[in-house]
Amino acid sequence: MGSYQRKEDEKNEKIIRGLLKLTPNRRCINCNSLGPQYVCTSFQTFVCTTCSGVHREFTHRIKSVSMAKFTSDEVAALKEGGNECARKIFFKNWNPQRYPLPDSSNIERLRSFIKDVYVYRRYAHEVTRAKSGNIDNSYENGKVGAHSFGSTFEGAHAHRYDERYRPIERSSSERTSKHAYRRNSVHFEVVDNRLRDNRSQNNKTSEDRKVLDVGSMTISSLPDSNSRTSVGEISRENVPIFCIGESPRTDVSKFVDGAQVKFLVLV
Amino acid sequence: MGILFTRMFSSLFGNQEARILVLGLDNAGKTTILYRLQMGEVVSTIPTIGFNVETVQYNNIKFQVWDLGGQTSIRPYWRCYFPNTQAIIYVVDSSDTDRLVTAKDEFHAILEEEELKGAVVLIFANKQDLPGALDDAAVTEALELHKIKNRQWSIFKTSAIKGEGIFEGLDWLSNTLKSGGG
Repeated sequence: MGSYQRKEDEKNEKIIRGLLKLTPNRRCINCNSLGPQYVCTSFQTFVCTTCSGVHREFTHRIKSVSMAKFTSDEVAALKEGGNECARKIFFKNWNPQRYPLPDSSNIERLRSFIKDVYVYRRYAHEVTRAKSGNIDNSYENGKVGAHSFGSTFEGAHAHRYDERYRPIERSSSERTSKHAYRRNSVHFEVVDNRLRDNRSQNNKTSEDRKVLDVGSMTISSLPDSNSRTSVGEISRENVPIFCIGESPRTDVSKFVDGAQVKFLVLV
Repeated sequence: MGILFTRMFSSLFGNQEARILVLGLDNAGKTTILYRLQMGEVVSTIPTIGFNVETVQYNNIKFQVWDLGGQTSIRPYWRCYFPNTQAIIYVVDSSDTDRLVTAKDEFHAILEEEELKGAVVLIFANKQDLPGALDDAAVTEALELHKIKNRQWSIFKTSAIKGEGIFEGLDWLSNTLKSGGG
């Protein structure tokens, strides 16, 4: 039993070492530093030491390639996954020109980047972003093992993160203003992008603006309007509420975006 | 003569020293606890390969706290640090229910060690800030702490991130050590 186990371990390590030699896995998926030594088993990615530390903060599972033992299931999942596969999922809508990868020396930026990518799934493929229920199926049928991805794609995971880390950020922001800045910056980044999108697409008419104001009033008077996650849901699901106005169909998206912008600024 | 006087003085006023090992599975929160004790702050950590060691002065005891890496392959090296240890702080991720069995096995393997026969054991049911974290009673059951014989032990609910429960645990530890345990 003992020697069988050892052979199994050796075989698994050999496979992982082989995977590390594949071009996409030669660099950390998050900060592009050379020679990642850790595996994030929550997403089947290869990451560097610094990023592994940050992933742990978000309760993602981390294993060292050389200091941990991998089960055959984990190795199989990693074979199916890897950085290239994860990039297709989590970096689908990511634009390297607009948001360059963070540097591993800048831990604050690394933290907010990893939060954006894996917790908020800001650049993720639409299918994986939409609803957690569909995701398990789509990956079971597809190339990624459901064993590894199932748990990480649950919506509950994001909540879990939120509840854990909100108090920390609060307590740390009491200590240093740097932390407080970081927390706000996340919010404002979101606001910025939407504003930018709107401006580039069209020049608003006065009528648009009028509708926008009504929209923002409606949103801010909604009962659940004080949590950020609910804002996303409002914009996605309750769109018909705002369609009551006379604005033509094409204006709806702008209008919803606009309303959301307004709301986030208010927050 | 001077040394003798110093020794008598420190024994009278309880300037004791204690060597402590912080053990537990990887990502249990050992390093975060160590620096919480030492600096009173949450530091961002990376997986420990090897160890971190710090001294913490608390309740007139100078604790030399060794935080050893918890990854699977380096757990066998824990035993290199066992000699002359007065206390073990065993840290458990109370929210990682999948690995509680592993945590239990490692824990009882430690208790079997001859070199740790006299060490008192403090268990931290850590990560209480996470939803779904088991409480101290549930962790006691999962780790089968009732099986501990001939040893002083205690369990505390802790959150290294929030700074809760850790110093209560250290209070227990210092009182136990002062009263001759370990």
